[in-house]
Amino acid sequence: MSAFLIAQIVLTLFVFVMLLSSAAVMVYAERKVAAILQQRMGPYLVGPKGMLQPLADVIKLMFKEELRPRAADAFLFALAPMISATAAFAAFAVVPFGAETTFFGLLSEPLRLQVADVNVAILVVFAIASMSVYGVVLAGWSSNSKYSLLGGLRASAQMISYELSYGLALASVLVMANSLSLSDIVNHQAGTWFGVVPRWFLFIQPVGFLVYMTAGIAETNRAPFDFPEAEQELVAGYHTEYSSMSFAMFFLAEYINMVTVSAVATDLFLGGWHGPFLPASLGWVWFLLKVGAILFFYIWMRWTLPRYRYDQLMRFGWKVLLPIAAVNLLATAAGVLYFGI
Amino acid sequence: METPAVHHGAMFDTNELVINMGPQHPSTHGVLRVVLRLDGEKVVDADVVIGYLHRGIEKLSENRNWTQIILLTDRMDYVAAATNNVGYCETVEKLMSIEVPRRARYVRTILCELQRIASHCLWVGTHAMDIGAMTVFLYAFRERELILDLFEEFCGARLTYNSMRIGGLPLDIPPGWDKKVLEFCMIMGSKVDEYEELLTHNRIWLERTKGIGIISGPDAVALGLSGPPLRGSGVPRDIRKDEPYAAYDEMAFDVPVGSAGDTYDRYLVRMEEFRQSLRIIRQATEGIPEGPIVGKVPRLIKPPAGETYHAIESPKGELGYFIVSDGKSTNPYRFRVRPPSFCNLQGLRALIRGHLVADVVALIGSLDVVLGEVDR
Repeated sequence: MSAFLIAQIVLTLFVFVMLLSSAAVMVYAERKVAAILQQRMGPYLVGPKGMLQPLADVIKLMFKEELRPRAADAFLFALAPMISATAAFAAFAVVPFGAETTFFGLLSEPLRLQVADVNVAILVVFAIASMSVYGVVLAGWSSNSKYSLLGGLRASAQMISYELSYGLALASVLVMANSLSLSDIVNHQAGTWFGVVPRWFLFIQPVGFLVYMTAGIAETNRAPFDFPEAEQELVAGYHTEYSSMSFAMFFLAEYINMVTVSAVATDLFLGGWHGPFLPASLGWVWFLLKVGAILFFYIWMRWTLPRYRYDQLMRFGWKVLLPIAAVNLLATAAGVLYFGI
Repeated sequence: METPAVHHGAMFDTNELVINMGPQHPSTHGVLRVVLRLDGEKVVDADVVIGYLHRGIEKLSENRNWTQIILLTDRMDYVAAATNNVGYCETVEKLMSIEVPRRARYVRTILCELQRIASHCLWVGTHAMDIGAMTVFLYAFRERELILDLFEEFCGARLTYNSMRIGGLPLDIPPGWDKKVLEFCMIMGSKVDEYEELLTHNRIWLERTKGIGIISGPDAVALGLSGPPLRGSGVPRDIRKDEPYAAYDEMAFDVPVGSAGDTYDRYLVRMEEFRQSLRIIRQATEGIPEGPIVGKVPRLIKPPAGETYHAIESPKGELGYFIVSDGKSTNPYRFRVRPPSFCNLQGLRALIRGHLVADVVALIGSLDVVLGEVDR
């Protein structure tokens, strides 16, 4: 039992550290991929092929002066980045990233590669994603700056309207898997059809996947839906007045949110750690590959597409995405009832 | 100017939000300042404030001799310096009735059109970046670099060229330069298609530019717009065609015009101008005549007393010079520039009223202003 407990604690710490480093990897990947897309070099001075660039960035940020506008609300101004960062980390806690393992017989009973196997994991992800909007809104309001305020307002409107479609896309999956637990949903996708096509929900739920990804991009405020921080319009949106480590926290939260959205998408639609060729104990490799592919897509989008306008985004969210998600959910429910999957 | 505040009800404090956009803002292209009065995100009214880059070039010119002024004109529209040089030199030539040799006129045409492409490269890059498409910016700068290389080979400078002299050119084109220009035309043709692939049929791009900042032809004329913003509204006014200068009368090219007069049409007009410019460069480069590069210019340049106005089609619109000479001194009595950016910027207030904050940056980009020229 105690070995199990220690393993659980070690796992939790491991996930925390991995998430932190995933943000660093993402920063590096974003800069390198952008550079390749734009026919530039990207970072190449710090470390081999510039791989230590994120570290250099962090050190630079740490040594910067922490500035706060005199008119800002001191308490909320300090609180906002913490909410953002905490919410980003917390959401990943319920995301499973590998099959049960005993670590080559080290443990007497198998341990799930997941910080907490909550039986309502989907709801937890959803709830915590909604929490992160507070960080952005409070940052926008407490800075007492007009650009920040506009950024914060945009963020709250955008996140709330896309949460509905996000939730409906999630719901269509849970109707099919008949469970709210992410591990159950992943295990539901094990195996193949006709020996070739993996039994991923992506193939039964392509619409759900598209809605989920679109809403996910809007949820994480990434291009082409990056209005809250639209650089060309609002300077830097809600984090205009932030500097040093409090800015770094927003930055960190943005990347970790992306990782979480991709990880949840992998678990919901891409069969999580299930995949051919590799033994079950190496399922996490598949998981990482799939998450990586989605993250690459994220970066690719950002550097290719122009930005939507704020009102167009809202119209798209309410008049296009939400009806599609709702119809998709109804159709799925009807299908499940009729075929009894 | 005074518009009453919009009242939605007594419950909330519904004052207008006044936002000071610029002079230090990522997308006001230098030091433009726009004071926006917002109702939510909608622009109720706007004040365009200029003057942050004023260097007094016009007054300065009155104390320089005629040749020294060429160098000052470089500093106005610094993304199309050679065009400014040509405009100024031709004005003085007109005042002094100097005949410019045909070879010099051909080279001037090539340089002007190269500048148009360079300026439009900068425009397409920044305009796309303002709307959020970052990558086009770097693609466009990649090609602009090639043009700067050509200019560097011609006159040694990459930004402010000082590449003209009154009566002709300071130096002949280096051997093999014309081949490099033709090579560049080959490359550029496919690159323009590349930009268009990223933008022209992109749905987000269409939604962001179609129907934004519509201005009708008569309104555009009344506001004094010129260049692509005017042609985008369907007015086929191009000084290269209407009052040809340099060697444009010997070139075959079309003047693209828009129909709707919105941001998208202005975009299409400029994209087509890329191709027309390439067409002109090809013709001019292949047909460069032999001969002298400088006409008969007196050793001391001292135009006879009188005044003249001469305008050319710069990448941004009508670039005109009004010069008064007293016939006694070696510097102009009065030197005045009609900069296209300044006049086009007058349209901004009319364009952005009623649009959203996000459109403001799109419209600033769509007018393609260079603040160095606005303020001088």
